[in-house]
Amino acid sequence: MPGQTTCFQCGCVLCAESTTAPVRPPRMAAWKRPWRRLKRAAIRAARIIPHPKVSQRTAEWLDRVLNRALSGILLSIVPGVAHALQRRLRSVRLYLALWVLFLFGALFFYGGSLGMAFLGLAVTWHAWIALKAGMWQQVHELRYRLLAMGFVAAGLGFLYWGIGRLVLSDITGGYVTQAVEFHRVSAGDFVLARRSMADVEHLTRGSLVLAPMGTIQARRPRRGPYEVIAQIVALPGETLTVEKAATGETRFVISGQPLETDVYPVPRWLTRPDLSVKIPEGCCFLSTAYRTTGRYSTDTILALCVVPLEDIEAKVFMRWLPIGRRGFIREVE
Amino acid sequence: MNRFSSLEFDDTDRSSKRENRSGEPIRDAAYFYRQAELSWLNGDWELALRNYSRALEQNRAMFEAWSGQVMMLIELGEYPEAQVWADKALEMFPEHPELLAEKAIACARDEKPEKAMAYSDNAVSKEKLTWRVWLGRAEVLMRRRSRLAEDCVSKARALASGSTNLVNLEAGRVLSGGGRYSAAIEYLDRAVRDFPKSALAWYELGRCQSQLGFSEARASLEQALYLRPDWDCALREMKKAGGRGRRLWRRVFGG
Repeated sequence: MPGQTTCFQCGCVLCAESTTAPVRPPRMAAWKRPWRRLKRAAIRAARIIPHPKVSQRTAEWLDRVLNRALSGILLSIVPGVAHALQRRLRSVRLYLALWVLFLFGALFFYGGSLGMAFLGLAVTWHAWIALKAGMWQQVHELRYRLLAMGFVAAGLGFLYWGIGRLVLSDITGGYVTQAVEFHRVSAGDFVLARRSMADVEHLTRGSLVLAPMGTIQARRPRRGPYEVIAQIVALPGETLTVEKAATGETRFVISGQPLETDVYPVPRWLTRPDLSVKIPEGCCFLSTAYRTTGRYSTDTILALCVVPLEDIEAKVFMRWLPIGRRGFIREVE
Repeated sequence: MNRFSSLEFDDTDRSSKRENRSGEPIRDAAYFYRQAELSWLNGDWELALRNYSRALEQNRAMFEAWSGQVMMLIELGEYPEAQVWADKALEMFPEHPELLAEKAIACARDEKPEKAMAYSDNAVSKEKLTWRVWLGRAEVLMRRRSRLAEDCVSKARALASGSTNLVNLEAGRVLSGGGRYSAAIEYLDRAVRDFPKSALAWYELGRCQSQLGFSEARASLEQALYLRPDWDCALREMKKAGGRGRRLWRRVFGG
């Protein structure tokens, strides 16, 4: 039966069709499911229906502002998301690249004025991207634009501060007041410290720590919320004295054993030949420089320098600024 | 062939089942279609989709199977895929209102209300409308918070009167999806009377009762779990329906 595809008697297929049409539908990859859900939730969140009681004109205005401007700002908490949803991410790609650059600069120069400047730029740039997602199309007057910019930048500033506190909760920093040759730090350097390392296991003699040592006001010690970078010189149970070496340098002596001055420098305000301190249990002796002149009684020195170990906030682990000396701090013992 | 003419929900109705000489059912398109519908009534979308595909393998011109596939993709939350497959089906059944209505549902659930409305408008402008078209429109309108949604549900019921009782179950599901639980319970009560062996009907009823804080929710969900043990959705809903405080809260504040 030439030319026939089926037998006319029994209906058997004589030659199969060359192409078989698909009858199974395309399926979604499993990994796409949460993303699609997230996308739908974002669209739902962005859609705000105007209240039926307000006038038509106000409703239209509210709809425009809330639907486009506010949703644009809210979605732009992660810069570019609003633009991506509006399918015009390409229009802000340069802005996004600059924002990433500013953010990177802020992190790289963290702790210095340059870092603050970069952070400010990142926040304002972020605010600009957020407002570009919808607000700029709705608001044209300069004063309102400036007002909106101020509000959004302030809000984002708080957001950055909160995120920074959350993400970098373990990391803190401070400026060094006393140069330590061994650690390659000078007065004015910015160092990074970790809160999780402020325990007895990690705190050894010579460690640089961030601790609440208080201040000297009117020649009297004042305990306060001020934290300074200091060096642990003596540990619990030890006796600390200060003596003048044959070379003329003043140095710390721990239970009769003199300490090297390049590792344990003596601040000028502690250069008292008769200073002798017995460190109580659970405390340590911290050495740091104060901008002060004259001599202080042993009680004043005790009140400032003998600090409970548990009060130590964090242990310094990295020289951060200046960039030329950036590196990890070596352990003394 | 009527879409639901091959369904068997009652053990006594075995007259329409085709069997071969050894007593086994003939695995033709109608058989797989019947299996798909039973899986759907059991709330097993994945199995239902597989059976619809098998039915299509047997008979590519079976519209109900194409439509069922699209609906199952929607139930599985695969909306873009459902739209693609509805387009594919529309190549075979051009301008079919039910497929257009299904596209509208997929768009509505995919948060594309304008497109959904356009498809729904197109669907209702055609001739020979089915109750599914009106239920699709009800869902689209419900998502737009339109008061016309319940009118569409009534219209769907009027169209379906006498032909099948599945409309009650579907209408209940549409209403519960739109958060109108007390209206949905009316329909679902009838659905569980018509299909006492449907885990889906019991589950939907239990969900609505749970949302309204009714103590009967547990019994309905237990029945759903009895019919389909270890069903995740029912187990989750059972946990939600648990506490007395929660029930009171829902009863007072509604969900």
